[in-house]
Amino acid sequence: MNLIRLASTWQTENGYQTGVLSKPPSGVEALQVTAAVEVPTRAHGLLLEPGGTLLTVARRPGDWLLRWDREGHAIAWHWVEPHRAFAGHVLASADGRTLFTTEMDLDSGAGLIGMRDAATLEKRAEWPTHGIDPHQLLWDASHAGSLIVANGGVPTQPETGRVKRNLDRMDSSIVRLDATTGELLAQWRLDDHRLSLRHLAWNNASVNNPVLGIALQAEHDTPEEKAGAPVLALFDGHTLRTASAPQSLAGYGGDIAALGTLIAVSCPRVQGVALFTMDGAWQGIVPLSEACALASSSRQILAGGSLHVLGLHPADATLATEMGVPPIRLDNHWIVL
Amino acid sequence: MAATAFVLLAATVAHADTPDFIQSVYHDWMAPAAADFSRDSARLTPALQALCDAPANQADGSLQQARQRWLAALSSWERLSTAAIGPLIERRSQRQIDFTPTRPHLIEKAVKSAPSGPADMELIGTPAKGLPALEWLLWVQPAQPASPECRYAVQVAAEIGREAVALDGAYKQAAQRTPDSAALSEFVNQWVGGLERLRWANMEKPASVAMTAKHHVAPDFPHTSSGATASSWATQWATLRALAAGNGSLSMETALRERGLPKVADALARATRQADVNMQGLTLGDKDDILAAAEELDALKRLVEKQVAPALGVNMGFSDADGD
Repeated sequence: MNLIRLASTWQTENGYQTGVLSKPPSGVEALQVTAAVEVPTRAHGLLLEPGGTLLTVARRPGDWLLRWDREGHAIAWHWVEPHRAFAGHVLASADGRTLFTTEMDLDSGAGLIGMRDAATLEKRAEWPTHGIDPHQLLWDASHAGSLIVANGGVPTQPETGRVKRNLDRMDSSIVRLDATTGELLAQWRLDDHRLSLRHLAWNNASVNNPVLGIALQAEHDTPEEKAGAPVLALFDGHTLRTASAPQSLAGYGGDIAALGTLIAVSCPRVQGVALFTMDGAWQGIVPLSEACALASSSRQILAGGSLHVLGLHPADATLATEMGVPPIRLDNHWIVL
Repeated sequence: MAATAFVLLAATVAHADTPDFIQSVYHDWMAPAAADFSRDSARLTPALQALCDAPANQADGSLQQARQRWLAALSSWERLSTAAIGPLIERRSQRQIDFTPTRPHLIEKAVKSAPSGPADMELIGTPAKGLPALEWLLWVQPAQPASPECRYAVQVAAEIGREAVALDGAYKQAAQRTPDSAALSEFVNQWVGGLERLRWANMEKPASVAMTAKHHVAPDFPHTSSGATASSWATQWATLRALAAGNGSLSMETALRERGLPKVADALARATRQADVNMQGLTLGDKDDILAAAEELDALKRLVEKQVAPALGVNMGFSDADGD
């Protein structure tokens, strides 16, 4: 088995860290913490920069953006501008010179994209996301030169932090923005307004017809509606639709990854990783306690849980890898190094 | 059958004491705190008017008096708002009264617009109003007698006073009502939110930002211009401590004991005492003590999220403990 290395975020007994989890090619069948940086509040999304350094973003509503290296050295801290909060995710331009962060205007509640100088992390411009509660953003594989941004659409107020308020006013969408000007090029919504579009992964198995998988979180009023809600939406560049499952997934998709023709959505509330084809056909669920973080290497989808990490073959989702985890609580996301 | 009866009885007891506990919080903390804030806010306007009307040889004395009134209003505001529940949230009073960071250019713009009453003040944005705006007008660019800045300060104070009166009335009514089933959850969540605001936004973050800056900068702690930083921390902590442990029927510790959960209650009492030791006597110059105190507050927060909230049957929404 090859070396496995992931950049991740987690919680310890005493606080929060971001760092590297590694399993050497032979020896103990478990991930170990091989580098760690203390962070002051819970962390969320990560990015491997073209130059090899890493960025971690505070969980929304977040104050900080940290650049660090694989040896666990903090290189630069950036603190968010007044009246703004980070929304947990960052993306780099292909040349590595520009960063895009999802953010919130704390005065108006509006979602924003911060366009930043990658060298200094300073903001150069802001663009509206044409929604509220933005989450993840990716380059639009179906439309060159544009970004796809998920607006989670859940209203909150600064005075009450992450508490969801006035869910009848929920407005979730994905938007396509011009990556040079921020101009809104298109916007899509699901028919069910109580489904929050959050995390994104492209399936590029069909090179000319990439499909975007979007992990959903249901915000319906009743437990029954949540229990029956889908956790996956699919976007082919033109239309947005949900993918159904024959069993309850508790309406909570934590993370999403794609490899081969497979799309995986972690469902921590039903303790498993739900699997679909890129057409949305149900492929089953792989049990994993508190399944959340998902990432694709070239060979497998790695899923992190509370007690184990599983690696799933893209062809048939059989188990390629099973490893232990160190005594930490893995958080929502990780990325393969 | 016996086990079932015990569970049902426990559930009945849990439902019976929850409204009592929250009603105590409203009746014995929030309503008196709102009354104090209304009283202290009412003293702001005449003090500022006296400044505006002061002859030159009394200007400094009037300014000092206005500052003292502001400090008193800040203190009673923080006792009311640190664990903000009920009317403060419904009315969004924190945005109206405590908007930070201050935006001096918006204050200057508002001064030039010369508002003369409530209707005019409604057109002024919240970043130019509230206690922080008054702090700026009393310490950073102290308003002079007979100046447009002073006249504006009177209007800002009057608006704070109006909101304080409304809150006073609202909390008196709330204290007479039986709290609904969501009230306990709101209280615990907002207590955690208040603790996190003190720990992170008011203490650790300003210290961290200064420590990671490329050039030497002093930490941007709140209320440095009025010299009220340490007293503000102390007031916020005293509020959180009182609502956490000890303090008769008001505290989460008491609620836990009444539910037959002495171990969690003991843990909460211990963690609160530990945090209290570290929160005493903090000075702005002692970064290590400030960070150590913040660490104890963080440990207390984690205990409340992981043990106290579940024991009280509360789902944490305002916490680090929920998913994304």
